[in-house]
Amino acid sequence: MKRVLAVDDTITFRIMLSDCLRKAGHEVIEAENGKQALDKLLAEQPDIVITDLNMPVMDGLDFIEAARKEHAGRALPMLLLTTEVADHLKKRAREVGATGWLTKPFDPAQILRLVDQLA
Amino acid sequence: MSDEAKAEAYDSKQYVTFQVGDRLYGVEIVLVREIKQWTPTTALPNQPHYTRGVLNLRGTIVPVHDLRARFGGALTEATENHVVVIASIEDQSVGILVDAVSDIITVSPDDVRSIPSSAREMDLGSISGLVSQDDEMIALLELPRLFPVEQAFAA
Amino acid sequence: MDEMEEFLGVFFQECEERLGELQDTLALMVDGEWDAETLNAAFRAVHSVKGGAGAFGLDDLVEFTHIFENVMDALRSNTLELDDKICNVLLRSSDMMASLIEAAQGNANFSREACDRLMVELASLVGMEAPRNPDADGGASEPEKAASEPEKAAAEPETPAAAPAAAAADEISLEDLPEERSVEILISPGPDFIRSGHDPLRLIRALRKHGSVQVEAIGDYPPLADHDALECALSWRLTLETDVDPVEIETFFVVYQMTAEVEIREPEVEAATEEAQTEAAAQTKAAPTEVASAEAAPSAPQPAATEAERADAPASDPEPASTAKAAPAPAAAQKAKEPREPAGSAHQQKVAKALRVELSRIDRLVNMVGEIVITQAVLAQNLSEMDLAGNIEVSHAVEALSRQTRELQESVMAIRAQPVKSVFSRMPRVVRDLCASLDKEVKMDLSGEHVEVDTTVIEELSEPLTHMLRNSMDHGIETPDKREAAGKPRQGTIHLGAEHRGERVQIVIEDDGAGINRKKVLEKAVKNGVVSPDATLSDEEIDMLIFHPGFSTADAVTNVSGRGVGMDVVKKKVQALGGRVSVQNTPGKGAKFSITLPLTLAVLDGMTIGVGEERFILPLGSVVEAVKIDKSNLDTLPGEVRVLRYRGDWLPLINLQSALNLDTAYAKEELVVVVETETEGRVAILVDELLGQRQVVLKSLEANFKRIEGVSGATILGDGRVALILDIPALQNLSAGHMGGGFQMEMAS
Repeated sequence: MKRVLAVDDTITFRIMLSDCLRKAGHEVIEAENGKQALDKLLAEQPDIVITDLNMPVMDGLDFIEAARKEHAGRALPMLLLTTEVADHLKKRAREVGATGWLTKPFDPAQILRLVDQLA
Repeated sequence: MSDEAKAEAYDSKQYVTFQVGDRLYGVEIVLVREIKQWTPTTALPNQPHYTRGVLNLRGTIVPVHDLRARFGGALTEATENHVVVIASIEDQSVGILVDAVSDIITVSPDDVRSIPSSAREMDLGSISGLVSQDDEMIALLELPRLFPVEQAFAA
Repeated sequence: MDEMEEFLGVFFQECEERLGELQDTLALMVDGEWDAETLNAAFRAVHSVKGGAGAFGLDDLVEFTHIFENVMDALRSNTLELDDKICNVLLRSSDMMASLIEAAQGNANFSREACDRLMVELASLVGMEAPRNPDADGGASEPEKAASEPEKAAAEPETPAAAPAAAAADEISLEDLPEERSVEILISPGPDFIRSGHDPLRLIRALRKHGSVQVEAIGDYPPLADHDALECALSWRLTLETDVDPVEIETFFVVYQMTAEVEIREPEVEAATEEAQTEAAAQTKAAPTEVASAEAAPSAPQPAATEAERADAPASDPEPASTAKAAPAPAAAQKAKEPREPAGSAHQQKVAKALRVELSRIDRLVNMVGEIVITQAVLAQNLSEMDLAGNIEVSHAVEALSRQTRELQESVMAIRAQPVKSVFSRMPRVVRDLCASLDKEVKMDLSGEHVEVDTTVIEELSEPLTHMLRNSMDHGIETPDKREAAGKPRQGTIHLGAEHRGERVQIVIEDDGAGINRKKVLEKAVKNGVVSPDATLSDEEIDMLIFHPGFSTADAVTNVSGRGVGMDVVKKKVQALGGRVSVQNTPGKGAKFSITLPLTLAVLDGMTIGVGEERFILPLGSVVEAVKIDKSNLDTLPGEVRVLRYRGDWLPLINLQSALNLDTAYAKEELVVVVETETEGRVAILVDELLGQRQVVLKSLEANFKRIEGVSGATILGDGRVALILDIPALQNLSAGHMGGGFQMEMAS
């Protein structure tokens, strides 16, 4: 069992994601945007983060960048899960320290595999 | 997580609930594709009165049905405050016009009660069960029965 | 699991192609227009289906194709001579192979008994023993007969030896059944590898789930002073002992590739594929002459082997003796005897030129282009409304954009175009099946198979075509005796052809049967209440009655027997595709049915019209002109039918508000669009305003809803709203009911 922080502003999507993770026996903490996720990061100590890119308040890239700064030294896997495909965003994802880039709609099996593999 | 809790989480389903007048309805969340603000639809000729027409959902044409009218009420005076729930029925998408989306609830199979046989206003089978939550009754919709998918040509 | 299914899908797709090839070559054989290459091609088609079937464990198919293949092999090696009887067996075998493939896809059942019988028949041709004995009379006598023909029996020793090798080659080329092997993975983490959340230890731990892992560091450990805990100075070589599918291993490493370089080396599999290819090439080369060389067996093998070794040496690494065995002799024989183009090369060329793309990807492209067309139209319209006087550059750019958009669209559409052959080639089989069940003799001939049509049209074609063929077989072609009595050849002919007619394609089904019996048709139509007993109809009108929905009564209705499906269904289907059906009848001589279809269902030139608040699209091709109306030209017939005087004619006036039950009302009644229809003549449609012409992208209402009478589809306007595309003949029926034949007369009086 892993602790997964799921970040997405779309409620349906967040629920689908946590549903799939919970059914596989993982614990899921949810956040609606990057800011909220950043707040929960310290308190909840997740094993892995799966975050949307486009979100209000703080987007996924800024969130990862901030998380890497504030929690430097911890090899926390942080996956972006997004509908975006633009190369410049991928490039920036690499720069801010994203662990991987996944595209929506998500494949539950892939998500579960990656949680097992990375966390 | 305890084993018991796990088992429950496994069996239970999540529903998006929405309001039509003072009634609450639920649709299983895995069937809900998205929720849209109401925009005027294009009327279709010679359809049941509850079929409001079609809308453009990112390049595909999706029919919109008025849930209030479907259950025998008047046509909804739709405004910008009304929402259309886009759901999947079999491999088609369908829009359901409701007043508002209210919540997402988790329902375990034990909580679902069957419909009393005296409930005559519903077409048989279009409601799969009832759930009480905070003193309110939520009718769980069986979308394929409510809005049957037309069989393909000469099937 | 999913990958297996995906491969299986690819295999079935390939089966379709092979079946098509087989049917083509068999057709040549039946016509006597075959040569050695024809036989080879037929053999290859059966052979590749067998190979694939073996790889996927489709046992019924393997069993059948194995025997089938042996017969084809005997034919091409001239140990069996092709005659009419054998042709017949081959045709039925091809049909059986098709049934087995369908059954393997779970689409249909096949008759085990028929299959077993056919296998006995096939086996007896080459003196093999059928794997099963379906019944006493077939099973027992055949092997004896075969054994008494030593010449055929002589071919036998060769075939079993060739078959396993062939099957093995196909298996590997499908990358099926990965074996226990050691995969080498080189992973060189970039500077950010650990910082971005990866952990080499976790990677190795996770990889262990797929097999045992050995780790070896590459590179020098940096001096301690320079050591950064978050930087990975080393690369690793991981050796994974595994039996997992290569695809899965690739998938595993995808997530690391953002911050590390990963190289996966599958040494054995690569070698195996190469081996399979050379072997397969050898096999196909070998094929033509294999048996011939076996006749001269005693002397051949030794020198042949050395020559083959020489020939093969530069191409591939030395192979274990056991796998190389199959190749040498035939390869040499091929060299020595027949300088014919190797059979494999044509096939390989084809593979190189064609790219299989999922239809959904093309559809996405088509949709995008469709959106561009819309955007471009909106842009052009907005610019035209602005005052750009003198700004020639902008208007040139807009013009260029519009031209390029159209070209782009045409290119995309061309990707979707497919020859009608894929449908046509199935039809001879339909006819053969029906010949057997109806006791008729019919020869089918095809033309224009290479005419290309949009793939959506193709997919929808097979059903109406099948119905029409059945109709021709059932009601058109007479029994052989009747034909003879009428002075016709016993064997009837049905011609199925396709040709381009401008922006449309015309498909013709023409038979030399009895034609439509007008007297009977009229009687039946009267009996079923389609026309009133005292109606006077022209010959052409009587012929068209067979398309009337009420005409073919519910002689219910099984697809299996192929009866009870009326021509009205054909008409409906074709109309749903935006096409029209017509018939030319020559009683006693035959009937010719024509279907005209649009080349594509994806775009349409349309005229946008407004009625109250609503917008509709009229297909531009049918618009004659728009006319201001003068009230004095309007009249109302009994039964509330309104008509408009137009150039000396009276046209039915269609009011969209009432025909479509619209909520919106006409603002005024001043303007009509006169529209030409193929079935209803000219009609006038009342509109409020004309909103311009443009190309529209057709969107299906059926994808998420259903077909709606009076509407042929929908499109999305520049403002994002949906507009319906009107189906005028259907509208005419909706609005007026049907007009009697005496209508014109009444007006004149």
